[in-house]
Amino acid sequence: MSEQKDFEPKIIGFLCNWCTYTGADLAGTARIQYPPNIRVIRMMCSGGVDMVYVMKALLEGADGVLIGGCHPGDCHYQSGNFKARRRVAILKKILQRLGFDDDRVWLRWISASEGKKFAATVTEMVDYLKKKGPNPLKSMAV
Amino acid sequence: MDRQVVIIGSGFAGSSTAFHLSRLGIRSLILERNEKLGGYFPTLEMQFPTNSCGVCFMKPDYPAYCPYIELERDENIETVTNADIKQIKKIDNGYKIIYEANDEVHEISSNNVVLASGYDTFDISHKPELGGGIYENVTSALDMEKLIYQIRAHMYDFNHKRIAYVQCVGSRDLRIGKPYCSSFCCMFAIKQAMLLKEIKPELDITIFYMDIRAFGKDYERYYNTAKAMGINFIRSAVAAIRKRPATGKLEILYTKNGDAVEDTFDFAVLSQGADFKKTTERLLKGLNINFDQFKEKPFENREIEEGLFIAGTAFEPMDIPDAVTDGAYIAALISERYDFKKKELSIPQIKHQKAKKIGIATINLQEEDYKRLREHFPEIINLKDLMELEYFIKENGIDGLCLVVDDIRLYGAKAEQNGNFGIHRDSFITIPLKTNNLIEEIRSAIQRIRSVQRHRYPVRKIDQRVAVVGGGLAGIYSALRLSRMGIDVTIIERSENLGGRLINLPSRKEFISNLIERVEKENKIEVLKGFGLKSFSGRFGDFKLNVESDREKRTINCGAIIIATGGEERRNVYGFEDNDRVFSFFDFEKRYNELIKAKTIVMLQCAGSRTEENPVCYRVCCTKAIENALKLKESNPDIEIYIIHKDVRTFGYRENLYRSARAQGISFIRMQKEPEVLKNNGLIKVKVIEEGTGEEFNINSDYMLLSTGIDPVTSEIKNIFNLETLDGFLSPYNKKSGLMDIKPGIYATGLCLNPLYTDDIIKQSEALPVRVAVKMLNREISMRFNTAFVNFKYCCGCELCIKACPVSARYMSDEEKIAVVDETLCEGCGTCAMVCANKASQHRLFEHKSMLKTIDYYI
Repeated sequence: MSEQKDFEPKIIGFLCNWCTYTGADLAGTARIQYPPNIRVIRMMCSGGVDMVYVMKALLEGADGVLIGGCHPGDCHYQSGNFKARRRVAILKKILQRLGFDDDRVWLRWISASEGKKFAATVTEMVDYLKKKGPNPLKSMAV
Repeated sequence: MDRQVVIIGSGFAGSSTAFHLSRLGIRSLILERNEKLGGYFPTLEMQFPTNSCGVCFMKPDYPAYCPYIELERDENIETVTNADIKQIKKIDNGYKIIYEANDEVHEISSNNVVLASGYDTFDISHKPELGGGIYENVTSALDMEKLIYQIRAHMYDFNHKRIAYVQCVGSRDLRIGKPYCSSFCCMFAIKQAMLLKEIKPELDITIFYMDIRAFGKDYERYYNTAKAMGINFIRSAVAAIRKRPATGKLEILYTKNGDAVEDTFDFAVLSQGADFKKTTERLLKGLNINFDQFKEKPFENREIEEGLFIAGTAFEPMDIPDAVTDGAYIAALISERYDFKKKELSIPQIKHQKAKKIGIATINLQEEDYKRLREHFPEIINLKDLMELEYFIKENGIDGLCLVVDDIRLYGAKAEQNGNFGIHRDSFITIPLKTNNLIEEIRSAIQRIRSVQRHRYPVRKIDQRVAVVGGGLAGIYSALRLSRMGIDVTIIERSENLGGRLINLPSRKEFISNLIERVEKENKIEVLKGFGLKSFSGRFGDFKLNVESDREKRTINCGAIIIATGGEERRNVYGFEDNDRVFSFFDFEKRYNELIKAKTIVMLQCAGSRTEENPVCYRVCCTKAIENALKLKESNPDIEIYIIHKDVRTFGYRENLYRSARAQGISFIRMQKEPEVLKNNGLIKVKVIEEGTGEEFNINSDYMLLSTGIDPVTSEIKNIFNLETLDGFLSPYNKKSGLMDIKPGIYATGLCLNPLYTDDIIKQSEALPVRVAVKMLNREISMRFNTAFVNFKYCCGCELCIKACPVSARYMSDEEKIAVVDETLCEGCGTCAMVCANKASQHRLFEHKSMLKTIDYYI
């Protein structure tokens, strides 16, 4: 149990440059507190997030993956976020088939003005993953 | 004169004017009354009819950040916030503006002043009978917008069940002296209702309205979606809202079928109208300019006096797409007074493969920081601004620069706009001051500048000719404006003469023939009459159009294309037309002499439109019918005129026409369902049931005029350019702010894009050339660094990337079966890299291997 308590989940965040990344930036400049568990990788568009990266992150032992895009209809490149949504839906099905928890992959729409929402999402995700426990693949990798 | 242009207000219209002027190289100063730039747009989260934002598409070149950030970043725009304008005085050749900012009074003189001061929202506490400002669960629509944002972000617990929207609070109300319609509140309320319903589907939302004025492009469809979502629409003016002290609920009193009804709601939103701004009124009074809000057009011209322009909602209440177009229109009018030179072609010369002389500079650094850096880098220099930097570079012959600044976004973008002051972009590195290991960063940057092999980036020239497809009103105005900006134009017209639809209208004949004369005199305009467009090829910058007439075939090389194919009259769509007694309202002028002798005339609105099959509102018909009716009444007051309608959509100051029509005794009947029409011995029997009262009207009428609307002519052009259409109208790249941009290099204006009044067509067609010119005048498209590239070894030619690309920057190579990137068009979203199964397409900044390594590193 003590191991569970100390467990700090590792989250990889693929954030869209125009909305969520700027939102995360805003959360920083507005000094909104959120857990330091997320490692952010900036992408130009959530439509450019290859699901291979998400799989790779999970296989390497990330406890969660957050994909952040613009709100539907707001995409800087017209429809990138819809593409991301479609892919994540497929990925989740594949993960289920493999017997892996599909709720470790989160797709959220966070706009550039929603610093608070970004912080809230990360906090929520960390709490959720803490309850859920570490990625089972992590122990197997060693 | 201190400034070329002073813009008062930085809302949609003001910032649109500033952006368009700036890109043409005309400097402007924005005076904003509030602390923040941007007018109302930072307060609006989502906008109709897309339920998304997209105001950044207002910028004529590619969008980046929100306009209020862009305003500050732009080098040709100076902004002053907290500016309280005291007075505008007329002086020789311009105006003097006295304003107070930061407790100081400033004076500034300028040749051109743009009043884009927008509107005040109506104060709902002037409506105590609706509980405005009294009850806490009665709020205004603009406050509701903030509340919706909070509900979405789970910051506010909204536990009300039944919500009422009350329309026309503070507009269309003579008792409080507001004769006009505010144009956007109907759609604003529908949008909010839809957003609320999306967040909480269990909500019961009712909108009380007088007429739903969904007159814009695709607005009718949006309204239908709202109805399908289960939002209730009740046509009734609300008499009073009272609060039950015992339960805290609201009693809303309204009329239904002639009876007073009371209903209980938990929450009420008053859709407050636009109030003519007090400041604008005061400023105009100071200049002795009078206007009358009870007229159809309070201001006759955009240029109220020489050099004084009025734009946006200050001119007339309008929605966002209209306001953005309006701003560009004003920019077009102002640009006429200035010569702007085309940019010189500046292909960077690479003398040496590597940088020879490297400089380190900082801008506006604090003394301590500077000292700290100086210990490590004795050659570092602290400069005041970019001007000094430019001088420093030129003076010392520097060809590699490491720049340390506190605001990397601001200075980085500005340096890029200035072409990095002649330094090749590979040897220009900007470093933010607030980095963990600044000294190390600078060292490695210098190392990189020293060692990097400089690329020769591809540059493509833009052909300085625009092809305008269609020689109607829109085409003519676009061509004239472009030619005045020094761009060659070719007009391709299918028929044998210019002028389009207007040439058949007797009242417009003189106006249009003057225009045609001007076109034919202009040297820069070439007119191809009788030519039809056959096919096109190429990309933005070098299009090739193949045109054909009976006699010859020709190929036109052009840099951009404007589609202005216009519209055609919808006729014989209703089923009763015999063109003797029942005919379309297009024949009004032709049959005028017959019509004034009639006893009774019925005008049927929305004939064959706003139905399930054709959910389009043609915008112009309501006003046109009322204008026609008033004209008839004027010459023969004994005529009985009935206008049968679904909603009367006389938005803005056109509401004044509607009111005077009712005052003249013209009857308006709202139909419950399509009327029954019987023809009987030259008389037309119309049986119609009024909605609301349920009363049946039997009208024996001599003539029946059908308001049928205008169909766009897009069926051919759509196939040639492979464009999308909705209800026949061309679909723009962005519906909200970039209305006229269809695809890179392809633009549209006029009736083929959206139904418009003649004045609006002129406005749109004058505004569009500014957007086109901004891109044309650059004369070259250079590659951006942030793009995709293709590893040819792996490309199998599956064309997946071509389908995925949102900006059509991917195409198949002519020589080999390989998909290549047009680096001048690519915006670097990385979607093509994502879909590529072989990883042949990759993003320059996010290469596949480095991405995998990054993930490894993080875990």
